[in-house]
Amino acid sequence: MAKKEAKESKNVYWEDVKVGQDLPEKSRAIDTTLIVAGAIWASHDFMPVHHSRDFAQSKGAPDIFMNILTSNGLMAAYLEQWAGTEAELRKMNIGLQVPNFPSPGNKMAMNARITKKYKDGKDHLIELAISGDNSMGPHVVGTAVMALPTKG
Amino acid sequence: MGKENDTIKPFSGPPEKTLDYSRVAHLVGKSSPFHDPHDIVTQSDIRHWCEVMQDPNPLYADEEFAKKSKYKGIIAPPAMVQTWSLDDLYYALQRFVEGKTPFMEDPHNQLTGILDAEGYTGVVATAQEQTYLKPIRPGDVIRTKITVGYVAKYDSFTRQGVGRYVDILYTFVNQKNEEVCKETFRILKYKPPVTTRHLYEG
Repeated sequence: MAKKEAKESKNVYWEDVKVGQDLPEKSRAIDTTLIVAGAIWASHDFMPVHHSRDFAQSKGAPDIFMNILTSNGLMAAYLEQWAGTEAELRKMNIGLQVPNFPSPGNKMAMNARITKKYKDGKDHLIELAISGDNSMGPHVVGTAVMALPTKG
Repeated sequence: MGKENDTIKPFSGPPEKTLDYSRVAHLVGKSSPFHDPHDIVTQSDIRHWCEVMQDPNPLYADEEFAKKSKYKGIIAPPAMVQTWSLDDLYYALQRFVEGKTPFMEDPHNQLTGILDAEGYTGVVATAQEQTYLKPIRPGDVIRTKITVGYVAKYDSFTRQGVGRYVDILYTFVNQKNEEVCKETFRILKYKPPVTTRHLYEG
């Protein structure tokens, strides 16, 4: 079902975007399943702070927390889904602030704003300011660079 | 009440033991050899990632669609690159639970060993910059070189406690020796306090 949606989704063209444009917000529930599956299943990160509550607490954290690769992957997928299959993700630069801890009702709201639009050789690029905020505050803040298709 | 106040002194705790930068300076700029991955890139690795990220991009899943694209076949999400270079379960538990670091001769592992011995036993990733250079495909063998990019000269006081920032640089290449990604990974090695739980509650 999800696959069909993507096939039918339109590509975003470089000519059609402008600096200052906001991408529609998306959010993900932050629960134990996402944190554990993100660490172990998706990114093969077996550092126990991302799957063992006892270990995380022994290191001073209140609970397990999301690994940076999952945070990066969620933000990257958010951008790619907006842009469509002809866009290319060129760079992700993120910093983590408050961790993504699992708790009932906790969500990460993902947002992005186009901050720059430029050409580099044959590439038609945009830079975006990106953020993912959970119930405690900003979890991930950073920038991304994408190459977009052109109509020409 | 008054009596208690009398006992409060200006802040002058005993000086904390802190890492002398000269002990690690020789490791900055040094690299490991290229390490082989625990596994090659597979379609099922990609599917697991996309399922977690809820990424329905057909370039990652639909052979027929991907063949008609400029990539001429399925590719992996670029942000997945580090998936194949992390410790497998055995080495991760050796490293993080048993305190037995694999590949101890690698400069970044020597650095970790020194920091651990000085009491900076906690680790959190705080920032990451990845530049994607080439698509990754099923069947690729992603090899990784790890370089110590930077070690802070002094401690920082952070939410996690007293710690030292370290930049680790990753170079990822495929079986043709083409660079697929360059990454800077910033970690905080910190001295775990009794608890930081109160900092997160309320």
